[in-house]
Amino acid sequence: MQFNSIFKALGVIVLVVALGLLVPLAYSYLTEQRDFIALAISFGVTVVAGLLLLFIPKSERHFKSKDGFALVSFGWLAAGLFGALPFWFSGATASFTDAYFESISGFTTTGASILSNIEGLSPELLLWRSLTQWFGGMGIIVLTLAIVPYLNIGGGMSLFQAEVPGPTAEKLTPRIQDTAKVLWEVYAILTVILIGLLWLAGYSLFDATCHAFTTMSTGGFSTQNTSVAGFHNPLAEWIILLFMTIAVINFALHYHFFFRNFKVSQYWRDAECQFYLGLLLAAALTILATIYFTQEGLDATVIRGVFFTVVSIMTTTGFGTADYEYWPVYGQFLLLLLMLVGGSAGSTAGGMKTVRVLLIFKYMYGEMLKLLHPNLVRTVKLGEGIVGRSLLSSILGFSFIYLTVMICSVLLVSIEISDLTTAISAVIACLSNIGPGLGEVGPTDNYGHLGSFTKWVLSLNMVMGRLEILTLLLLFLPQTWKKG
Amino acid sequence: MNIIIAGAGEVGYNLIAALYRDYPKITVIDFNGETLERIRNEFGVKTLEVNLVDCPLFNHRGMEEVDLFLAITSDDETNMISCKMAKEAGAKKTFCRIRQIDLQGSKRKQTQETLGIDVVINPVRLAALELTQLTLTPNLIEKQDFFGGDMLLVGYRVQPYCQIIGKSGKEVRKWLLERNGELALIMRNERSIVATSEMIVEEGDRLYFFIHSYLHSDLRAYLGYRQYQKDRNRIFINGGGNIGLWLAKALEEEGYEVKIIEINADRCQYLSEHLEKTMVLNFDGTDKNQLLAEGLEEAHHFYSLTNNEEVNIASCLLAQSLRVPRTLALVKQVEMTSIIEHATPIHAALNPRQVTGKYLSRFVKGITLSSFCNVGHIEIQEMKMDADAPCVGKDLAALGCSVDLRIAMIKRGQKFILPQADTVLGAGDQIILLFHQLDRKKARTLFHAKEVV
Repeated sequence: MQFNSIFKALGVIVLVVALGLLVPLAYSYLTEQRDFIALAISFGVTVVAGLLLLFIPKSERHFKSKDGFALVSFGWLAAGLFGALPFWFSGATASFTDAYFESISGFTTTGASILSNIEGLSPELLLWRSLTQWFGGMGIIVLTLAIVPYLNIGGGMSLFQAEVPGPTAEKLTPRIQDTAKVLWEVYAILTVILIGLLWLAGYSLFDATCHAFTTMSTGGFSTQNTSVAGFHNPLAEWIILLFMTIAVINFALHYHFFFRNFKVSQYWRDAECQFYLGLLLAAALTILATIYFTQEGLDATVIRGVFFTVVSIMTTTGFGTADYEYWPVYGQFLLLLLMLVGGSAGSTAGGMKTVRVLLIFKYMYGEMLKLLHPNLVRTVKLGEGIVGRSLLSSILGFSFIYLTVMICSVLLVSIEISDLTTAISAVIACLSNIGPGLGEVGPTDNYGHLGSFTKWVLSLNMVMGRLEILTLLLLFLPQTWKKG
Repeated sequence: MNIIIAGAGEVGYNLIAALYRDYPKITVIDFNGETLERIRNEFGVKTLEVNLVDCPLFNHRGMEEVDLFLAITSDDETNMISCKMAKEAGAKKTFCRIRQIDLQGSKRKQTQETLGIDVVINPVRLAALELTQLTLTPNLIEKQDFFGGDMLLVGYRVQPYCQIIGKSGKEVRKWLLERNGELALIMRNERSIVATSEMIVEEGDRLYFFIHSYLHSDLRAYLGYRQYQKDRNRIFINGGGNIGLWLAKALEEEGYEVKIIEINADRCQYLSEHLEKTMVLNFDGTDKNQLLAEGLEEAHHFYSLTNNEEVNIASCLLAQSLRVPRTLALVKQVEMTSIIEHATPIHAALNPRQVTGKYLSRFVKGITLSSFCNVGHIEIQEMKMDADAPCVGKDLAALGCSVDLRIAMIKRGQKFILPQADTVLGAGDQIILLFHQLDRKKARTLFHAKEVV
């Protein structure tokens, strides 16, 4: 491990977080200055820490890919740490555990909160909460790669690969730094469009900005206790629904749309996009059907609520408009499954990713055919492309590890949580970066009442989910720490 | 018509055999003196023993008088280079045989132009195309474009299951008339018979129709072939070479259930990557137990297309013993095709070189005449009426048309006319003429087609 190089690069990442802290600080200075002191101290601490790390001399030896994985893991854990300072210093949270949970929940775009009264928070802290999600959505490392042109260490691609979700990260431009830059450009353009639309739909500029940040990153933090439902603005809900869907489509497609004269119809031709939208529609319609047949019937509010919730859950955003705990159990369980599936690769969403699920189904179909025809030779295809054996086996391995981590985490949190539904759904909601779960962590509740051990397990789950598990899990492998 | 044929291999030999009577000005180039001697003795054509690329003809003035340059050696690169040289030396049309290199991409036209190639023929692709046609339309015995592809002449052999059996000539004519088509000929017991209104269609007849190309599949449905084919869509292909791959690709698009058997595991991987619905199976195509396990007994077709002639014959015989309704073997020697078809229970044999030769000779004839084909003793030819032709301005009754010499169809501008006794021919009309071989002279003087050299 090249600790010197890792910590030096970590310094850059911490400074990027400090740069982010400037935004709520400036906002606070210009408005009521409720938490100005807390933010100023946090900023100071972060800058000093960042500079100290930056002055560590670079080590001579070559930066290996395992150093890259370690840097990404430490980078995220550190971002959570410094991001938590404003919450802690301002006294908005009862303990540092809570502050860290809130901060990491922001950066990983989970949106699980320990706060019971969100409206009681100062506007500058609300802005910081939303901003952490916006940073986390496209990725802190990708952001660092984009704004610090040359991190002065090797392994750019392995860093990128470690952070961008999905089985394979697509290099859109020859230089990885340029790819990071265009991805952030696309992300920023879409966010600005959304701010404008929400503002036109009747949100205040502050609410529009906060919600645009958390929608595009599929985070799910709101400025209201009752989330998006609190605004009673159906038009804005449809707009947010649309942009959640957009945010979960592979950003490579968006890049082609914005910069490469891509036609809208080509989105539909993408195999993953097709599957994703189909799944979304099927889930929403069957839930509507069960509600229609088991409960008193449908009206516009219910239909909107179902669509919004299904999209919000499957895109791993976690905004709430309807309390789905009143739905038939079918609907609740389906939501839990959708949480596991998550969004598309290369987007801001969490979960196992639709493309992996799709490929696993295709692989299973092939294996079944093989039982009928023992000599069959079959290649799994995705759209026009061919999916190689090694990629398939890595996907199968990933899915297995994902489920293993999930089960072990449920085991750990059930030490403190007495209700099985709550335990399972809390882990899934954190691992897949959704936010609200079922039971005691349902859409109308929060994570505040859980024990601190549980909170640390869930915090770790969120980072694991965001970095697709293996990056972080590598740190627990003895070989990673050995020399050579 | 001045023709140069470069390459006197099997394809070249068969081509010369098909052409030498009609085209006296053929020059054959090859570096093998013995083959050339044989050709010279047999056909009496001019030969030149030289390495093609060094050929002095390319620097010669005479190249400007060459109408057709056919590069059909077994080497793709030689063919391509010689085409370029011939074109630059002034040859009017060049023909290039390319086997391995796939000039099918989006830049194909451009590449072909820079290489000076007018027409590319790929024997493997031709064979796959021929097989596709054989599978999709097994009873099609003739297909020829007329009027630049607007009109088709198609010939079908009437099978026992055809709905058309028992219908009278009048009924068939009526159906065709509504679609601007025409019943051209009926062959019964190797003799053409007159398609009168009272005549009843029988099993085994060969019917020849003129039909608009876009109505061809309607005609197939009318005759009863389409439904029959639809129920016979399970096909086994043994051997996943390029012919097998392209055939499978074409057939899977037509809704066939294709199973392709290949012994080489790596090739199987390649096949599975390039095919969508086809099942790629990795085992030896002569393994009876495996074939049975995959349901060969329920298959409708079994084609063996490996590189190995013996394997093809053996596996076809195996399929035959399991009562597969249609078997076909790929063979390398031309003589083998008729041996297999007549002396073994295997239904058909295909030789890619023969297919190429057939295609080539047809193409050469197609350049000189607008469109031409013969059915038994009857020749069918497309002609354009010049203003000074003796027949212009006369009606058909006055021309003395008979059963052995008649006009089947007239194209005037964009309109198709079915000729009647009082139809008057005009200058610029395009006609399709049917005549008996013996009446060729009479037909040509009457309608004044330019005599072929």
